[in-house]
Formats: sequence, structure tokens, C-alpha cells
Amino acid sequence: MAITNSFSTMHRSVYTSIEVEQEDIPAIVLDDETLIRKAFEVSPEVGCEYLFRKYHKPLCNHALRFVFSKEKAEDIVSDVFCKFWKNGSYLSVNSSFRYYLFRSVRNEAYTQLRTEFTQQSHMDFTSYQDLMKVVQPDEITQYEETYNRVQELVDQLPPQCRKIFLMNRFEGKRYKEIALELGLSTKTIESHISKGLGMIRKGMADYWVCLLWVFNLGL
Amino acid sequence: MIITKDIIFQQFANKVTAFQRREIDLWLKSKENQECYYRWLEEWEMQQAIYTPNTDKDLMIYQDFIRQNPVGGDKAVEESTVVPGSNWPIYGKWVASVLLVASVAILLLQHQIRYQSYTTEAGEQKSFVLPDGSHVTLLERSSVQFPRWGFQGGLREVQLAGEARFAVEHTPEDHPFVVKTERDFEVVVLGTEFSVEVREKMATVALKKGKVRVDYQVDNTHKEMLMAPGELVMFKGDQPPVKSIESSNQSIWDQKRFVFDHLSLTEVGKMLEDTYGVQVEIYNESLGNRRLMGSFMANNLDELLQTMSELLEVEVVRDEKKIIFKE
Repeated sequence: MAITNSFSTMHRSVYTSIEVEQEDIPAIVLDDETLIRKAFEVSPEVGCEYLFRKYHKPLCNHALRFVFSKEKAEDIVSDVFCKFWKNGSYLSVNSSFRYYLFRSVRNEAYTQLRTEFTQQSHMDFTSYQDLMKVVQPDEITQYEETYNRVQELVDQLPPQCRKIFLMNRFEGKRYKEIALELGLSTKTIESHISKGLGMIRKGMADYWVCLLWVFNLGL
Repeated sequence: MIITKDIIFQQFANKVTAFQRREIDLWLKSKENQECYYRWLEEWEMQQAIYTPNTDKDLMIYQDFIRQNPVGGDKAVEESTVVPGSNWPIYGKWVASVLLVASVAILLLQHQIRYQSYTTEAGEQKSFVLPDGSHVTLLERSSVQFPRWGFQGGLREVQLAGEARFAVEHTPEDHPFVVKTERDFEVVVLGTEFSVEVREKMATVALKKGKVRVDYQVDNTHKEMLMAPGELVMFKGDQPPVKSIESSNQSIWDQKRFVFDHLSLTEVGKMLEDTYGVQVEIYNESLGNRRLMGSFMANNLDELLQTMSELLEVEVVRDEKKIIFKE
């Protein structure tokens, strides 16, 4: 909040005559969800609105790291919020709303990523079945490992392929639009994207097979 | 190893060593640390944000979903305990008492029958559609009244106390839409989006789209003022209204804007009491005399208090409906 800071300085220089040491200022006592909880007591609708306004942006940005598509990320976040309302979860959460929402979005994004990038992969049927049995990560940090793995795979794509892949996935542009913008044929765009997807699928499949192996060994 | 925010931020960016990660995993065994972890994750995502999603659009879709699925927790439980059909006698009694109550109500509350009103409490907000298709969002501690059975004779009039945002449906016959207030001004509209706020100390009209005319009285003479999109008209005390340009067109629509024009904390406290229905206490007199200036956004009282506490370098304690400022 740059504005606040400048006001703060202005205020100090104009109105305060006593110098206050920055370190001595006591921490704010308010828990940043206190008011949201109060809002839920008055009206769950308003509570949900406050929550949505507060967390929508960071949640979408987080989901994006897994699925690499703004559209998919926003769908995931909206779904989580809808479930939150429909199941009346606001009555039962015994953690912060933040904890609930971030966990749910990560789970959902992880599941989607796994479903999307294991379809039509090079793996045979049995190992695919096994793979779907893999429970959600039991270490929280594994989520970071997963989205960072996707990031690496995208980074490793050949430059032109990565550019087209991002235009399609991340920016949500259609093949035709990309073809027009880059002066290439739609066929070329198609082949770049399927190549990109193929490489990411293979990379993710390897990653999950590795996880599966660890899982089966009970490590 | 002490787990710090820096280390966790490095974890998010995949920059930790295997050893550090093991330590983080151990640290994360406690629920308290997990809460902390997600708080940092939110902070990190706000700092690193790759893009800004259209939160308003998605929120509208979400609110539609909420309206269409009124099943949230407690209500669902209540509904499931009703046994349909099997208890006719009980059902009959219900109908009889409802009829009795209704007939008494008709005798006593003719006004309430003819006019529908919506009221909001502190921290509450309601959205609804008027008989002519216009949308209204009623903000906290406000009320609006309009004819229950539809607007008659092309006269579209609503009575407002407090603050509301309107998206007025344009009619083929160009019927004006009028927002009446308890003060001596009213807003006349032709298909547009705007907001009106009427509080004890001041009143504002902000226009987003279209055209509105503000009718007011100065020394018993009728005056009119035309507004263009992005303009803001403010009434203060008994002075004639002042027109200004809204600094950011978006602001007033997305968040609440708080304007502090050299106000003392005591005065701001009164404003808070007025707007949020809370009780404000200021511990020392010198603190009450400290002045605030500037304008900033806050989504709710929580954010506002947090900003104020940073601005004034004071401690703010909130206990239910009571807010205490102390050094």
C-alpha cells in the first residue's frame, strides 16, 4: 500500500511532534479474519463475499502455477468457493478460512493436473490405474515440488514451442489467433502445442511414476 | 534450524536444499505452523502475482450461484426436519394462524403491504431487483422502500436512507427513475449506474455510466445539477453541493472509499459509529486530537482499522461492537 505509506509519512511530519521509534509500535491486535467471521454470523452471503474479495487473486495465481491456464485456475477457485457455500463449510471449518481455501485449491489443482497430464500418456494401463490410486501428497511441501516441476518442464520446452504453448494455455488464445499473430499456419501451431503437451505429459508421468514407486515402497 | 519467512518464501520458489526441506516438513507437523505457512503463501502470491484476475466478474457469478442455491449448512438441516404431508392437523393449525396474523397485519400495516422495504444491519449487504428490472445493492445500515406491486403510471420512485448502488433499467418510454432521500435532494435518472450515500454528516452521489440529474433546494429555491460519468457530488451540512471528479472511476464501485479531510480521530470515530454501528473509545485526549488526511480504500472495517492503526501508529483493539484506540 504505497498510498498509505506516503500518508503515514505526511501525517508524522505535519501532525506529530513526538518522535516515535518504529520498533516500539505494538503489533496490530486484530486477526485479519476476525471481521470476516463476524460477517458470517450476520449473513453468510456477505461473509462469502468478503472471503472472495480477499482471497480470489492469490488463489487464482496459486492454482495457475499447477495448471498453467488462467481459465482453469479461475474455474478451480470458483468451484472451491461454490463447494464451500453449498456444503456450508463456513460452519464447520476449525482452521482459518485461508487455510481451508488454500488447501482445497491446492488439492483440486493437483488432482486436475494429475488427471490432465496422465491421460494418453506413454504408461500402460496397470500403472495408470495404480497411479490414480496415489493419494494426495502427505507432505505439504510436495505441492511446491509439483508445481515447480511443471514450471521446469515448461521452461525446458524449445523457445518457439514454449511461446506458442504459453499463448494458448496461459493467455487462453485460440490456435487461429496465434497463427495470425505469428504468421504461421494453424497446423504448425497445433503441432507445436501437441509437442509441448506431450513433453510435459511425459515429464509429469515420469515424476509421478517416481512418486508411485516411493509410495509403493512405503517410504 | 529456525524456520523464517525467508526460508518458506524460498521453498515456494523451489530454492531450498534437501536438508532445509526436511526441516520445513518437520516444522509443518504442527497445525499452528501450517496456519503460518498458508499466511505466508498468501503474502507470497500477492507479491509474486503473475496476473490480476477479474474478481468482480467471478464474484458476480458466485453471488448468482449463492442466490440459486440457498442451501448453506444450517438452512439445509432445518429443511430436512420438516415432514411433508404426513401431519395434516399440525399443518392446518399453521395455516389458520398464518391467516389470522395476515389479516391483522393487513389492518395494521397497510403501508408495509403497499411498500416493500429492504434493510441492512452493520456489515450486511443485500442485492435485489426492483419490479422494473433495475438492480440495487444496498450497503450496510441502509434501507430502501419501493411499491411492492410494481411502479404505477410510469413513476419510478424509491426512498433511500443510507447507501445504495443502482443499475437502472432503461424503459422504452424514457420513464425517469427517482431516488428520494430524507434530505432535501433527490436524484433523477435515465438508464444508468450510480451510487447514493446519505449519512448524518454528509451525502454523496457518484455516477458510473449514463446521465443523472441531482435536484436540490437552496434557500427554498429549486436547483438542478447535471452529472457526467466519473463525477461525484457531495453535500456537506447545509452548504450547496460540490461537484468533483472521482479520482479513480473504479474505486467507489469495488471498495469503499474513505476520505479524511483533516479530521481528528474523534471525528473519525463518530463516522465509524455512524457507518458501522459500533462504539468507539479513544483512550487519551491527545490521541483524539490527532488528525488524519487523505483518501484510501478499504473493503471492510477490518482493513480500515488496520490502515488507521498504521497511519496513526496506534493500537486498535476490536471487541464485538466496541473499538478502542490507544497509544
